[in-house]
Amino acid sequence: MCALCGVVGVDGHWTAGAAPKGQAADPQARRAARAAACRAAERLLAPARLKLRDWGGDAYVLSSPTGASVVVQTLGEIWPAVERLSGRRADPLAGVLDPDA
Amino acid sequence: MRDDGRLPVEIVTGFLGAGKTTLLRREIGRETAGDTAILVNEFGEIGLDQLLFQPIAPDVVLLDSGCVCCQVRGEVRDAVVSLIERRARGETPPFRRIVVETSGLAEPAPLLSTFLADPVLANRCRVVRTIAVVDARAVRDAAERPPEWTAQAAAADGLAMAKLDLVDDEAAAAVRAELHALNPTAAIFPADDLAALDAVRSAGALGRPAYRPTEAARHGAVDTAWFRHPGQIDFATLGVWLSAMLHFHGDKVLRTKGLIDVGAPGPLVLNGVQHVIHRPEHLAAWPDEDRESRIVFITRNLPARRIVAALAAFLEADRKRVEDGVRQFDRA
Repeated sequence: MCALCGVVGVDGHWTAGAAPKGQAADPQARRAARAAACRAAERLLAPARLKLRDWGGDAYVLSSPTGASVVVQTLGEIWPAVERLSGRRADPLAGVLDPDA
Repeated sequence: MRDDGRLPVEIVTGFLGAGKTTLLRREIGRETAGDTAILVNEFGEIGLDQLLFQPIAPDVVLLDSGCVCCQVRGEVRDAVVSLIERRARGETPPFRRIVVETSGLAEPAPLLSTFLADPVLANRCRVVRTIAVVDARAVRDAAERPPEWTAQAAAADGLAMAKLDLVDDEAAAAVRAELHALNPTAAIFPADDLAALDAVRSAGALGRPAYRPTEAARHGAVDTAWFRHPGQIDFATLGVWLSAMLHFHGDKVLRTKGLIDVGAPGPLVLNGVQHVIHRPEHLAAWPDEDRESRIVFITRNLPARRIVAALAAFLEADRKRVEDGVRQFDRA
């Protein structure tokens, strides 16, 4: 738990359980995975002009160009927060057509 | 799946009248039933009055075979927790696995979600597989299938074909082919073949005839397509993309299942039903010679190839971005 904000450091999202055996407790590997997740998320967030950063390994901060920000605990909580913050949807299928259509 | 001390849970689904109860009745009578606790919808349906039993509580009995049988009166969650507490207090034999029968009209995702999201259940048990019992006579025109039927069949790890004695060999083969096209990752076997059921149970993720990509199939509103990717995938990137895609389209994605090359000796098993994804499991080795990452998407009212195309484009852009970064670093 973070002593400043009281955030409990347990990420219940399914992606948090993907670290190989032995790496789950490795703080460096965990930080690298969270940084990679932020980079990937920012590609989906670009149309909404939002940024995502890791917050002490316990949470994520989603922020807008105007300075508004939201703290979310897991990756799964990002997507509804994007809609609340920007009014836009970070739908990864947006603009992708059925190749067979 | 490796043993982590939590009780393995098997979910048995099947549409109304499919033959779930017959399958469970066979289970109860087996010599191996002594290590099992079975949660059923109705004691009456399994013909409890014809069996020797000893009452433990109004809704829990100990059968002569040693099997603990529990009737779910309210929420499945409460029934499982109560059963585990009784086991801890020594009021029931120390069963080693739990089988949960769902109602015929239940879609599997909410129950899976309960087991994964409820802190008490998630700490004490783990869902290891879902078996769907299918009435061989009911696998007919895709347009006539109830949505629950399709969701149950798509979510299954094993498809037990019941009432095969009521169809001829040709129809049985057609049923098997139809089920395989709908859910190519499931093991398909006759419901009365308990040896085949045991094989599914003991095979775990490795031995299933799963992950062999088939032709994409479209059956009415239900669509199946495979995503394949040579080389390693960054799981954090894939996880973010899947998390977003399932947030927006999870109600239309009946199943997500696959093997991912994450650069380890064995692949990562991805297994999801609608919005719900199991915690990924690392395998020690690949199940066959095929080393490419592959994920099957079974969808309803959403072209599965749209998902495949979007994911391929996202990962390709990621690869290019990394390559550009390496090039810039080399120039500097």
